[in-house]
Amino acid sequence: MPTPAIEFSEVTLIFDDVVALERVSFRVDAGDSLVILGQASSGKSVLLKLALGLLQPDAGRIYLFGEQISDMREDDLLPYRQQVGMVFQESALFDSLSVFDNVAYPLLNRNSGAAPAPGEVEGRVREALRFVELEPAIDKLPSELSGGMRRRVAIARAIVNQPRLVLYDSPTAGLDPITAHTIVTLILKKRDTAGVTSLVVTHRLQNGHLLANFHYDPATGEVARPCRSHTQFLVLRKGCVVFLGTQEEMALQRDPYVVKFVMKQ
Amino acid sequence: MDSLQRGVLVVQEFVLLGARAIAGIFRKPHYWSDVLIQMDVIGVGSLPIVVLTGFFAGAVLSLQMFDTLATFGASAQTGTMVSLSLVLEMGPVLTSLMVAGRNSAGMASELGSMAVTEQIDAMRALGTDPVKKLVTPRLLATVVVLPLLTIIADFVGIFGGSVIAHFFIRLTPTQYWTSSYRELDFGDMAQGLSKPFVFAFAVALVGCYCGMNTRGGTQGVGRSTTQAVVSASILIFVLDFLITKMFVRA
Repeated sequence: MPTPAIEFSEVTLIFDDVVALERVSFRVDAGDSLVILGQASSGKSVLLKLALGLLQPDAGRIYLFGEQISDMREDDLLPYRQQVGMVFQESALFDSLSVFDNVAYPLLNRNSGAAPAPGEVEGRVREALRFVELEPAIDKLPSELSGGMRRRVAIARAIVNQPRLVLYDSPTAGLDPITAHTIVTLILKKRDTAGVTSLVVTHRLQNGHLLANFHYDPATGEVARPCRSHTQFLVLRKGCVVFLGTQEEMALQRDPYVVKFVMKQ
Repeated sequence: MDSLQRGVLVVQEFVLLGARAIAGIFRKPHYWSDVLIQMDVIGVGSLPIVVLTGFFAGAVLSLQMFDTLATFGASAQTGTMVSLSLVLEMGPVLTSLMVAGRNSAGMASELGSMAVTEQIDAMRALGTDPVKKLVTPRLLATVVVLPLLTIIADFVGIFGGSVIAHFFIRLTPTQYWTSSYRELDFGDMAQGLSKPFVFAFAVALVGCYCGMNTRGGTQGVGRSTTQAVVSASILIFVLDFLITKMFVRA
């Protein structure tokens, strides 16, 4: 069995007296996708923060690229985080830095390893911005960008380090359907052109549908059927996993929460 | 969690933040450009208010001391009293309070805004230690700059006192300046400079701690900013008492 890109084993997290996640288990192999669905406050964003070691679980184990990170010290986690990209819900761009400086940030502020040469930094920043089709905005400040553009810069920043795993926290939240489609296309593009493992938190089943049934076609620059990688769905309810499986299996579910969640969209 | 436990937790987290920030000075990577930027923001930015505060503190001290000393026929000692008061107490405390009001608040609001918009989490996610990147440069810059600002405030304050002594008290500049520096010894200098050095830790760490632990959106940022100024100011007075007690055998 190949080493999974990420694995949760019986993970529990409690804030004061509130259970944020309870005995959550799943594994995602390299190159595959996991779509995480659930109502607000069901623990989706917390799950991503645990996956990156930004939070530590109260019980259970988390493995990132085969290494247990759930009991690692902050300093030991930093090299692992450099192999993971994360797109935050509200983009979390550094608002005092230009688009260039935001995207260059992971390259210029490495905690370990040699920093790339200045010329290489600019080349890689431009390459990442070209990927999200935002190179002309390189000198702008985040405050000058629209919500969709900020999300695209956040994706460029997440992928500039050529990560093996990218975590997307509600990347289409608050965006219009066309911009949301563009963002999901970028997620597919990264997954299918670089073989990157993706964990996508979303409220919209349509995003999961695209990820599970389509691939990115470099020739046309559009998405096309069929999907060429394995996509799982995980549905959370009040911190508990109520479903984990493929889209076909989810369609057959009789759990009222899952049915309601699927049918409402 | 009751309030006692919460209090102990806050002290523990504050001490840990301080320890990690100090450890960050000695461990790579070093963010020297951030240190220089913070020295500019804290040092050069605070210079006008520190100069004004120092000048008027010295001027007021000169007037008050003359009034009191004249009762004993010792008005010629005005310079001594002004310089001792400024170097030992007023200079370090007033300068630190000014910097706390300006920079602890600034640090708390800046880091607080970053915390509520997930920028600090983003920094960690991008493989950067936010304590090393945000707290250590602010701490280092404050520790270097605050004693320098205090020296400037002391000097400007003594100068302010000399202006008053010359125009209102009719002391000659020679009388005033000779009495000012004659009574200052090494112990006074050590006490006067050790205070801003220690206060710098309070100013920087309280500002950063309040900022990094901000919760609750923009309202939370406002709360953290107020809390930072109040806590840093109180801590300055407490530390002032403790340091003075160490130097003065009473």
